[in-house]
Amino acid sequence: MSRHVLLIEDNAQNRYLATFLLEHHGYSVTFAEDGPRGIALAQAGAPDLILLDIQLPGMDGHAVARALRGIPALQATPIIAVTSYAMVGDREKAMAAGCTGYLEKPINPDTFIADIERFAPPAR
Amino acid sequence: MPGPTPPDSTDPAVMAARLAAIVDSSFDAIISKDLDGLVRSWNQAAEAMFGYTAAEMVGTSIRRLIPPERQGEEDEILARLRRGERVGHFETERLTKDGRRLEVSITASPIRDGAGRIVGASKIARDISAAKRREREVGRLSRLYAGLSQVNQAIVMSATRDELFGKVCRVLVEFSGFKMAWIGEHDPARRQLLPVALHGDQEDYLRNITVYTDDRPEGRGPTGTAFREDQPFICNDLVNDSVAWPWRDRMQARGLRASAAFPIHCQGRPWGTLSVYADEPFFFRDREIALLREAAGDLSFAMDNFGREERRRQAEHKVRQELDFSAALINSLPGVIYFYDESGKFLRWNDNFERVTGYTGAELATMHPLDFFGGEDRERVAARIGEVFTRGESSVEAGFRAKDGRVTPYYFTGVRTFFEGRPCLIGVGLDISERRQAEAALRESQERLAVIVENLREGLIVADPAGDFLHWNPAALRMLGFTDLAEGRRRQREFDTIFTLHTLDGQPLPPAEWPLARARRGDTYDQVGLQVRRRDSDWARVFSYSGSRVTHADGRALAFVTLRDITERVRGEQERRRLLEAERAAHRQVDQILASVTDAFVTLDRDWRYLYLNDRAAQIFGRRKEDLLGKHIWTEFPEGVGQPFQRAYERAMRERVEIRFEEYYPPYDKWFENRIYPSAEGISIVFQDISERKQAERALREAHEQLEQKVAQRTEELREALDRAEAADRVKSAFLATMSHELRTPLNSIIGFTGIMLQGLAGPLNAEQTKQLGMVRGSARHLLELINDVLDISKIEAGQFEVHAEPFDLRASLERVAGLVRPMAEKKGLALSVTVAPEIGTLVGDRRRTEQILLNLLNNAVKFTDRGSVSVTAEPVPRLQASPEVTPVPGVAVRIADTGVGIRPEDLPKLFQPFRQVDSGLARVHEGTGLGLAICRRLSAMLGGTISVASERSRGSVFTVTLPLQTPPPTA
Repeated sequence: MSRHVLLIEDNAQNRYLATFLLEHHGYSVTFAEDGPRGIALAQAGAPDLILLDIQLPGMDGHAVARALRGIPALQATPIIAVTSYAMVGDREKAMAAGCTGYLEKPINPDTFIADIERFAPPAR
Repeated sequence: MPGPTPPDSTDPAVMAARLAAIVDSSFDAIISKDLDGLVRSWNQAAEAMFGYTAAEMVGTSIRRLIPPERQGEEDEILARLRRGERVGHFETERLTKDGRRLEVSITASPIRDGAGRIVGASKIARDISAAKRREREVGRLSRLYAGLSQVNQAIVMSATRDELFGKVCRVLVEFSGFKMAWIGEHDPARRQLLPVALHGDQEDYLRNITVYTDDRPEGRGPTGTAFREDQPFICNDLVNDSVAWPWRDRMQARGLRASAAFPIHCQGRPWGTLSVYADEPFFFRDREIALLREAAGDLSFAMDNFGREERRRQAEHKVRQELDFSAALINSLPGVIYFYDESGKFLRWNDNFERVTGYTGAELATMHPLDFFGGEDRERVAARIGEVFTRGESSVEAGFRAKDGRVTPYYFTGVRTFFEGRPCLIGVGLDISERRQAEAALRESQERLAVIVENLREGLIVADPAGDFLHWNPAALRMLGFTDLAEGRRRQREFDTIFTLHTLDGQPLPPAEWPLARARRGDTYDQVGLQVRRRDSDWARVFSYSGSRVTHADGRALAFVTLRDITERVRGEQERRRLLEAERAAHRQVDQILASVTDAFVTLDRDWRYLYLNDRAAQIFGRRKEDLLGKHIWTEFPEGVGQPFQRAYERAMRERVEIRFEEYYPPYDKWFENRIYPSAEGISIVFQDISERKQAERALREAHEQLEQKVAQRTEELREALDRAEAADRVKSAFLATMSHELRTPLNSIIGFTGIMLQGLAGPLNAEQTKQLGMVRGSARHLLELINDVLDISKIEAGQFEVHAEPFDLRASLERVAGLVRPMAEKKGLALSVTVAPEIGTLVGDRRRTEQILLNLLNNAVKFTDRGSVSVTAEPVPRLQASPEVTPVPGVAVRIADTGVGIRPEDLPKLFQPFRQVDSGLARVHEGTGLGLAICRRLSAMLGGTISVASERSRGSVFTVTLPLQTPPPTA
């Protein structure tokens, strides 16, 4: 059974890039363009993994991560922050908000899947 | 499994267009050129910056942007790019289309094709003119402020006007960076400004020109105009401004490009000018002008101060003249006056001293005061001299022995005074031989009088006015000299044949006017003194007569006359009058001496009454001496009660101590210097009006305080200027951080999609497509590196660089880093080895930053080595001490050794300094990476470690990084 990834990302190009890579490696992908819709989809779809952009319009990624962690069914779901924020403390902030892992943009297409699986190993 | 619809951006042409759009949105000029220096692309920012359109530039040489004297730079840049090096943050000048010069920071990186060959270069140029201008402006203002501080110090420290002006000109040239500074004094006769101080003029420029103050052409330059119009005059372009034409060629030859002149005042009137010259046109702006104007104002202030100082000196001169005058007076006085120190050495004496003693000045200089006394006088005088030195004053009467042995009775008074810090005695001696004789005579007659008074009985004469009755009592007869009373009675009617009577002033009195005859006639009189003389001898007496006629009830009348012998009293009175006169004369002499001293002098008795005051004291009090003598001080001066003066007088009187003090006396609005000496009668006070001195002191002190305040104010202004500069710096760093973030987002797409396409995930590619996409990816990765470098530097500059501490495996990090450079090493045929001591394992620190350091060093090692090997070794260090103030901790040392080109010894110290290599290293070959090593050094310091290098030219280099096993917490 293919693993289900929820991608919360507002930039269409980035969304397309991640979706392309994930689907090529056997993942199924649903996406949301902003935080509230992402939270709704996560509650409804119970994804195996959530990829979360931090710089989102309106509700930002940190707030989204905290909201997701507040939902009991999603407490064990890996959330990986993907962000082009590269200032001091960004990583700590993401982890503090409840993310499992942290990837810096630009993503490297050669290692992207391996990086994801480092934070969220596929189920047996 | 359908995914979202792919946008049409898989087409490389569209990608390129998008990249072009990104490039065009940059604020920096982004230019690419081939290795011949021909421009290949030219973004909008480049158009805006240099004024050339892309159409004008593409395909042409970039050299037209380079000023003639900098053409060599381009050769160096191209040479480095060909070697695959990056040229980072190189600051230089470039020309715009309209010929302006721009200050730019250039970063150039080689562009490689898919096969890794260098085919051209990308270049980012940033216009840093504004930043440089601001930097220069802050620098210039700092120098000006520094100069001004020095000017203020010079004002406070300088003793003379010329010294001050010399210092000010020197400071303006040496601290504030002016090319030349001079101060001109106005000469009204010649209508010229004559230089009185000058600095920075090595070629006699000023000696060869004349500056006038009237309206002729040589008076219309900045200095002449500033003086004539009494306001600052600025000429910011000496080469082109017509006001400077008389001097233009000479100024140009000496590099003087702008000048500013300011009037200097003395006591509110124009006095002269301060002129400064800068070596760049348009140097003087509002802030510079305001600061210099203030300096000129300070000089005016100092001039006034020197004026006050001069007046004070004149006042002192006057006082000195008065002192000379009093010295002349003392010399002409009749008494002897002398001045000697505690050892008895005579320091001064008046001419009379030599006259009276008969000794010459040379003889006196070797004599002792006791040499003038003999016998028992000598001991008494010695004792009194001792008293003067211990108690402050004394007096003595003694025989004063002259050189010829003659001894004259003298009365000496001595007062202790301090001369050059030593106690001395100032004394006055007066000849009292006349007074002595008067006293002796008085004593004698008083004794005689006492005997006579003892035996005196009032004489009484009673007579019948009409009849024969006449009675003289025995006392009366005895008074007339009759020892035999019977004989007296017998001859009492023929007294007019025995005696004559005279008035006290010697007029003979006819018998009809004799006392008894007058009483018989009925005259009444009281105490009429008359002289009675015997006709037959020199017997003579003076009698006081009182007489009257008493009429009884029965009609009878009797005449009564009483007489008292007042001969002795009259004589005593005459004697006393004479003695008093002598005393007064002596007193007048002392008075004259004291009056001639410029200090005021007052003596008070123990009941606070004025015993004496000299003319100067009376003048200060504004009272007549005779109105104050004998009066009570606090009755006469009630306003002085409670003033410090009263307390000091009372203490001196009570404790018998000498007191000196300076005090302000409000009723007179004057300052006095006072010396109080206890004396035999009470106290003596010597005082002096020192208001003028006090005023000068106060003026000086106020000036000092005012200047200190100004210096503090300027320091504050300078600090604010620095704060503003720092704030601008923070804004710059924040801007860079944001920009780098914004640039990463599009790079995400570029790198991501080229990667996908190169992996073949989007479909097969032909060889040409693979090659071209490889170039796109290479450029994009390079751009990312650039952005990361900029971000790192801006973080370090902004102080935002944080170090994380987490456990990591150093061995794994070393392997990972070596893995990254291994392909390049293999390509160059270099052996790459990693040796880790077995006890090395986990470190607690920042893995990412540690790897960044190691990668940078390893990259350099491979880059700068053409054959041989690169080896990495890691060993434990038991006691690692990163700096002297920390305690040693266990750590590791990683050595990266290569067999490359090495580094020249003279370049080793500069190796880790940021931007140094970039700034000055273009002429050299293979000498380090500049920014990278600077980042490495700062990172290793933040991790609690060190970095060092040892190198031998052409043999290779060894870089050593030490790191603690546990990164210490950051110190604030």
